[in-house]
Amino acid sequence: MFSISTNSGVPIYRQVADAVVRQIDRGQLQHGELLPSVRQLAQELGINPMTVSKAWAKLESEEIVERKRGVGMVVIRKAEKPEQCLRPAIKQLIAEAQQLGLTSTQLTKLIRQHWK
Amino acid sequence: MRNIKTPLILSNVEKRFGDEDNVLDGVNLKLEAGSITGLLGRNGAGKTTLLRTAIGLLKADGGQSEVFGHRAWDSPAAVRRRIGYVAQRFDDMLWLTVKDAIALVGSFYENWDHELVARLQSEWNVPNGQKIQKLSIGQQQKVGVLLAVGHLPDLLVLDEPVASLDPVARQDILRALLMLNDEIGQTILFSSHITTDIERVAADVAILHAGKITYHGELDELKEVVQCLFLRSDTDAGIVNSLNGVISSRVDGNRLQVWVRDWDDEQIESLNSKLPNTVDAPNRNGIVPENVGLEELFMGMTS
Repeated sequence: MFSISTNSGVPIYRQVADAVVRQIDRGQLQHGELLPSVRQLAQELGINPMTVSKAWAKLESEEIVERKRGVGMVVIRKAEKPEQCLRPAIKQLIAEAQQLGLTSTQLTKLIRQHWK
Repeated sequence: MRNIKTPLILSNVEKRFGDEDNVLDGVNLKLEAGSITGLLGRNGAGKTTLLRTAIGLLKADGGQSEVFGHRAWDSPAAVRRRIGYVAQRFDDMLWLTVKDAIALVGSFYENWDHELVARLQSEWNVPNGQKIQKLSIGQQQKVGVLLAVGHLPDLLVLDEPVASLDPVARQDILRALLMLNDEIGQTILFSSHITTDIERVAADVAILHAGKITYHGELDELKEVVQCLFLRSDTDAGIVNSLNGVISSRVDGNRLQVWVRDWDDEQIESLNSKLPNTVDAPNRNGIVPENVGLEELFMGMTS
């Protein structure tokens, strides 16, 4: 369910938080469902429990999950629309295109060429 | 005032051997109770010397190391009992069987946790009746860990505990460290040059370079604060290195990799304004600091 990449520039806690968001968007985690406990997930992934706590705190502050006393972390956000989900990927694509000096027309043309 | 709750405080610790230059040249490091800290440094940086001086196996030539509020070098037995140490290479009691070695070391401690040791031993498939010298290096290393944790030390110090092990054995030991930290609340300090291991297990990192701790803090924060710029390899490194917040740079293939700390738009602007504005200069919008993994961070911060 979660996969962690060590030696990535993205801190592990963010990788874990991002994985939860992706699962919500793909419908693998539904509104009202429980996240695994900190200890359980830390053991499963072989990572420091503090890292998982931090990921859960991030999701809580972004109102993606809610801490329910004696129960755990409950998903409160609904899946985003597809166009929302693509936003980070699009942003990155644009940044890379800009680095290469492409114009927006050139980029859209490229996308259209690859769209089959 | 004595700080009996803080497991380890190194203040300006210096250590040299003979007439040579200081291996440790003013090391400052303070571990919070319950933290797991990975000590990173290149080969020969002095990681072993730091760990041994920290817990009083070596005497500091300057400065001081304090363990639970006592000077490490001549701390009372009651303090020493709160420390567990795993040497880089386990080569003690080789003639004993695993069972006898555990019984021997266990007999020194009233609080020896037989159940814990037996549990780890069986999880790791370390045979009881085998003489330690007949075991593989990985198995010997596991025996070293068993002997160091049975008395439930509050501070566990491990010198490259997994360097010579295969990935499965490495995971076994690292998971045990996480378990000990989680269940017993042990403070753990371990050195390694395998950054992926540190990344999984340690929430904090300390980087030892040129005799000093050049970074100590949360690994996540390090990843966010220190970033890399990739410029064309013909960029004038002199200009780049003169800017504030540049840690180091090196030419890597057709690009100049620059490690920067706390960079924001202001610094990028200042870099842009100093680089020649030719067609070949890096695209002005293209200079974006990127987050990189611990291994690359480590390279930049130790060169």
